[in-house]
Amino acid sequence: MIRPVAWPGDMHGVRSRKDFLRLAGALAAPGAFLAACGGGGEKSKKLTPAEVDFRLMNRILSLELAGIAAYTEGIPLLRGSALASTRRFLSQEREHAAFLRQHISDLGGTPNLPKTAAEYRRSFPALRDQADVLRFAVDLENRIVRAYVEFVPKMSSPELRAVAGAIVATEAEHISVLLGERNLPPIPSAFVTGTAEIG
Amino acid sequence: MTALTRRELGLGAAALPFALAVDEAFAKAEGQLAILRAAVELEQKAVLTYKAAAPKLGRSEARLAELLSRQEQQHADGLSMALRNRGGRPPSPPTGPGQVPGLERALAGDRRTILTFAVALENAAVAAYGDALRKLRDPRLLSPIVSILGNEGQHLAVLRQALGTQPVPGPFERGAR
Repeated sequence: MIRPVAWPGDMHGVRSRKDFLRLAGALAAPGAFLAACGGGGEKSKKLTPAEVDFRLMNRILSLELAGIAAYTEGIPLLRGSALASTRRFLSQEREHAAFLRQHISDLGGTPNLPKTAAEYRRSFPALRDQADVLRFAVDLENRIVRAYVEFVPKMSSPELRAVAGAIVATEAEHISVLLGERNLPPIPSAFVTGTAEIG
Repeated sequence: MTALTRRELGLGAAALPFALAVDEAFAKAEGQLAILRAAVELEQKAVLTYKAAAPKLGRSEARLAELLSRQEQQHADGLSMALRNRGGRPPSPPTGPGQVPGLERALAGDRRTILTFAVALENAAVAAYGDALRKLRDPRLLSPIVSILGNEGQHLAVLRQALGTQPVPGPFERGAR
């Protein structure tokens, strides 16, 4: 899991030019990058651009794998349009994970492995019904978006940044559909930062 | 381009000039200032589009258009400030539908024509910001651009739902290119 990003206050409500610039400044903070790359133990090692890219992607891969586990765990509790949507989203998260695994390998890295279903289950909140599943799915999708929003500026490959953008757009679309399933406003903010809107 | 986005464009022939204009503007934009300026222009046209569309739609879709207009304005404001802070000058916003390629024709149509124009507009925006992520290097710009790109994806999903089509057709939302 990534560490919480040092968001400047309540960033899910970015509503003004001032907020936009605060967001821009906060995400350029060097501390966030060190956290992303594994913390102080690796400060002294000079990473190649490829190493930076695959380490960032591995962090995101772990989140995508958690998302896959969560959808897999939650689908039996869903029905109707929520079931149809999440089945599709599960398939799409698998495609994201496959892309990340392949790209990490191509860059010489070793893709992170998923935890076991039991390990995921222990780390998830109790999922008793559709409302629990949808709430948790929004939370996980937000975490994935937050990771991409933080990491994209650190990615050296232009093509990788573009693919990451395509994935962010997809995850943001998932969030909108899931919020709609919960009868909540599907587009709560003009800037998708991945900060959870829902408690 | 996916089959769906081709179909979306095909349904909205009125939107094609707009999509092509955005595509051309971003393809030509190479430097940071040119990209920011193209983005501001795109957002300004989106603001005008949704403002002009709202009175022609039913109540719930009009409310959606008003929301999208406000969010596009927030993008335009943020990007304009970023442009000014780097020594650039934002373009003047368009003053009427005639300045947005294809919009007048779309507004003369029914709700489906208007919503399809909006889908094409958002598709063009998603593709344009994906292109910007490729070209830009400044981390202070990349994060907000990703955040805006995500929001345009959300607009796209909700508009597709309004049209009764699949809101998230594929795992990699690249827009229409």
